Amino acid sequence: MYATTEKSCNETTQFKYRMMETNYFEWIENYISGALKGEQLKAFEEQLKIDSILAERVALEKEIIDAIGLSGERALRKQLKTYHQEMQEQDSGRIISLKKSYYLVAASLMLFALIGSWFLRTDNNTQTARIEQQKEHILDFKNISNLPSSKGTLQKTSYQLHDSIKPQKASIYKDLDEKEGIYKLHIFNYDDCKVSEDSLRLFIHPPIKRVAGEIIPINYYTYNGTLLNLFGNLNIKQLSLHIENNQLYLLMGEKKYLITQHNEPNALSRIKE
Amino acid sequence: MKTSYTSDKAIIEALKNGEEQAMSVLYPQHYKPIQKWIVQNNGLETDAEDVYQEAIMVFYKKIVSNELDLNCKIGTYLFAVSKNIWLKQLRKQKTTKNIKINPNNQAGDNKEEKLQNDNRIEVILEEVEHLGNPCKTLLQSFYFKKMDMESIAEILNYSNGKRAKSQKYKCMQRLRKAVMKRLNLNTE
Repeated sequence: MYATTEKSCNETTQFKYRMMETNYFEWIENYISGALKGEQLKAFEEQLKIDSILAERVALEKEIIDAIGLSGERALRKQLKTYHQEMQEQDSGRIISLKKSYYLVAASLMLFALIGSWFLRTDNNTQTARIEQQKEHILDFKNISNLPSSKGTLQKTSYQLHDSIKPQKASIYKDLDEKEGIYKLHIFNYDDCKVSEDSLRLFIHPPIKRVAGEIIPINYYTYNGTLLNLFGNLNIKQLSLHIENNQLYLLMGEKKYLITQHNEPNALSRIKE
Repeated sequence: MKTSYTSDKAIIEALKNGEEQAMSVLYPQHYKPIQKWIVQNNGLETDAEDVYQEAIMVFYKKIVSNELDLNCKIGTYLFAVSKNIWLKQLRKQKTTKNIKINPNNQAGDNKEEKLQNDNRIEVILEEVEHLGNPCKTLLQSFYFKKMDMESIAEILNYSNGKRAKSQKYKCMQRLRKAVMKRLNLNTE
């Protein structure tokens, strides 16, 4: 059609009309996707050299397609975050159900230790002034060496526990309070470098921006009668527990940390038997 | 309720067909060993999450581009990709520590140009968001998920692929127009 009416036009102009006649953007899209071949591709490229508007449209179309791709990618990344959260919630649920009895034993033991320490403490007038200032609700680990070993009994499950976190050197935690970021304090039994099912783990999660005097939550995981040994390995002195308003705190020197039951499922990962 | 996919092949096919369920099934299956390895290699659990998701993205993009030539299990593949990503990050961290960057050394023009391009992309991204659904899903399915028109028609309840194609054209026209207006470009 255009060939008869526009015979005087040069080839590129004819090509432009042909593009207009069909679908201008389909040409552009086919060019970008690599679907244009042979003569059509050659003609399009020739046109691109002399037609600045077409060149601009091609560039914009590329940007639009890239942006759609990026938007799809962002949507998927967001979705992956949701899956991750769901996975953690599911694991958390499993941990609670599988370890309920174990937590109960651990909690009882902690309570027992607290009471035991209370009696020991009343007999010992040489305790430090700092501990005395914390009144009667203090447990000093230095005085609980006779703490009976009491292992929690795990329910039979189809899972076996394994350590997901490698033991770290105590020095790593030296400047813990001064640093920004999320940290975890893992306390392991260094004797065998294993995270046994009944060892103690404490996790410190300082928020990104710390406020002076802020209480850092420590998530209490599991423990047995090797507390003294564990803390000894970490070389943390003057470590004590303190109960205030029904909350359990860990005192390290002048610092006080709230202890809560651990709720991060990935800290203790599971593998199927 | 989640659909069960009995094999790696089934998961890959489902991802190719845009079945979102497949990703939710795949995701938790292979995370734990990767997390364990990263934490054992100076990483935090948050690092593990980021790295694993990056590996999933690589895997997904390969699938939809038909570039995946898998001759091992998905878990092995994801582990290897995650490992590479993490080792690369560790190397980068090491290098960054050793190099002091002088901000004056950076090429100013390139920086400005990059900023302008980024701004343009952000404007277009905003317009993609403004499109809303089904346009947004349709365009993302075509350009990002690389789904064919028949599959798109199926997920968006269009009668056939031809109808989906015509909808895609309309959505693109809307988007072009909006973008050109935002960027003050001649719309004629």
